[in-house]
Amino acid sequence: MIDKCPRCNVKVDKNLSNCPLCGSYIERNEEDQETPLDAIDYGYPKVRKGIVVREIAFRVFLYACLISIGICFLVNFLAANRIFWAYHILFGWAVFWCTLGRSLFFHLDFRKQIFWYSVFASIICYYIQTMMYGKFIVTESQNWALIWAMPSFFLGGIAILFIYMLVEFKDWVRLTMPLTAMCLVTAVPAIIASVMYKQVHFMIYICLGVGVITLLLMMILGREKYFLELKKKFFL
Amino acid sequence: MNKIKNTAEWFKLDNASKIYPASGNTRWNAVYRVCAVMKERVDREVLQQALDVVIERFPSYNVILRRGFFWYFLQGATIRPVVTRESDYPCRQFDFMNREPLFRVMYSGNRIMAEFSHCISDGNASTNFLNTLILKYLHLLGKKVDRGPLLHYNDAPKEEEFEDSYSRYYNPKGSKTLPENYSAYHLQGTKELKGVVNVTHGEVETAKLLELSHAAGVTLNEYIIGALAYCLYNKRKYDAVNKNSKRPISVQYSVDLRNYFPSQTVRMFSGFVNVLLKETSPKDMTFEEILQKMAEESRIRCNKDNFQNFINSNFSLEKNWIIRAVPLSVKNLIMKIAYYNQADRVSSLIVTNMGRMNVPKEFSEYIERYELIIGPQKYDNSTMTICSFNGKTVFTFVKTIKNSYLEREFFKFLTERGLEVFVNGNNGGRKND
Repeated sequence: MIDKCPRCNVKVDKNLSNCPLCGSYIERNEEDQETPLDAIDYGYPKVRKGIVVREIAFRVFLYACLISIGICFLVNFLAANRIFWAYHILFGWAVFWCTLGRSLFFHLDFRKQIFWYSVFASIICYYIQTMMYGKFIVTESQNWALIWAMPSFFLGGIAILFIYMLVEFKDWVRLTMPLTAMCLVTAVPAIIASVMYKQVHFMIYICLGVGVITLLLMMILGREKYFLELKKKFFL
Repeated sequence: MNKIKNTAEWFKLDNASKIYPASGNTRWNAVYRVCAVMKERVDREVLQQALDVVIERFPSYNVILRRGFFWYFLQGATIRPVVTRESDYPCRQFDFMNREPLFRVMYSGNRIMAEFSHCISDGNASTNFLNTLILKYLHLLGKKVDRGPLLHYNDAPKEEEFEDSYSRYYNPKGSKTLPENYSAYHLQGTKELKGVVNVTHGEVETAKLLELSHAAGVTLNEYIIGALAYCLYNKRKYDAVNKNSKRPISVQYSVDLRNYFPSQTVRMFSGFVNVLLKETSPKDMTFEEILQKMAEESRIRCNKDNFQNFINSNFSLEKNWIIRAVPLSVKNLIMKIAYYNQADRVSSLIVTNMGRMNVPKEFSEYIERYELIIGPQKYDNSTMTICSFNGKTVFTFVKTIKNSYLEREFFKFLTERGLEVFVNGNNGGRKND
């Protein structure tokens, strides 16, 4: 069953063609080639190459991203002597990674990522608005990202999560924390609007109202299970 | 002491386990494997039946890791664990983010193996699980095996088995361990791609090994640590002169704290000892000198007071209100730095000695040997484990580099002293490839 490695002077498992210590080829007698059925199998299975291929694919993707960003910054700087459009490429990649890229690469549960999708969609809208007007702080009538886009995405997020909870009601507890986060984040546009404009648009009120009602509904309907989930999430 | 009571549904991570999910990432998390090589081929169906029964006895293992706002926590998994055929490299990471249970049971040819995350258990406790699983497996096959010292699958789980023993033995007024302040020498080599783990087992006769250690006047553990330090010392001599080759050699070995602090917990309860090779003269040291130095250092460091200080210092951090109130994302960052500074950086090699397996005597009729595989560390390139059963001792080297210097020199060291070594592993090429 076992032959010796001439270099290391150790017996080598018959399942192996080479010595695991030095890599030398182990010559065996012909009669030793047949493994008896009752022999103990010390061998490891042949590993599928998927794990290695995935690692290589990830590296290629990562380097391609970094190189493309670097080239964009360089071209932008050489062409205009200042950097202005290359930021958008960087922003685009960052948003892609934080939303879809991360979810796809780590096989994350799509439903639990809805919160992040809504948040990043709102950030993208604000970014576009800033590009359009060339400044970060604008008047209330110009601020469509805060007054329309942000509440719409949050309302959409709450609606999708709520529907998922109803469809998969047996495992509804699993979605309580993303939905709670979604409800809490509805307060953000209200706070920003009240600080910036000293008044709150009715669209933001609707968003906040839906958030509060959903939160109360979860507390009332979920009761013990919901509070236990909160306790788990926030124990010190 | 814990405000959150441990229940089967969910519980806090114990003190030492907190570092693992925090310092880990999606590609590295502390995983280890306990494995029994049976004398006959493993029957998957029977093993699945055995697992269905045994998992009820160890409810703290079928859990998933969840992220809270301040801490991670464990929650009972709702899915039934399934025995799978081994098809990947050993100690593949657990997919925390997608709620994969933190243990898995696999089989392949003659092997029955269970892989665990360090978040839920340590080597000693999980060997109990594997042995109970084998006991049930053998019973289902109609073999007559006495339970011996094992936890029986029909017993109800006890409250003490879920306890965080670190909190039980924490003494708030006791002294604390000072952090180690050096960087140890590390083996260098060509890195494998991430995910690839090279394993090499070497089997020797325990009696002959004991003879060698007794002749040298040291324990078996000290002898092996001395031999490893000697191999590392020789390697370092011929390394190119750089920062790394000027660093001291340090071997870290894990200690089952149950031997010092009585506990029945099946969760993590282990500590570690860093044994530093103190080189007093610039002349080349012989093996005997190295062995003597390592044995002395090991005896000084391996005592109950040191372990008590270790528990105190670790637990006092957890008790600190400022640390508790910091959000998990920030804690993760701090713990990553702490892990690098205190775990991997200060050791050249990590060794785990499981010692002799405490199993019913009938097991020797059905089991050939045990193996323990500690997954690769985040920064260290190599780990080594020792398992003794039925007169045989199995050394297992795990590495994420292509070079096999350490294991080659270690086994050469043993063969030069008259021991016969049988090696196998996953990096020697399959016969029919």
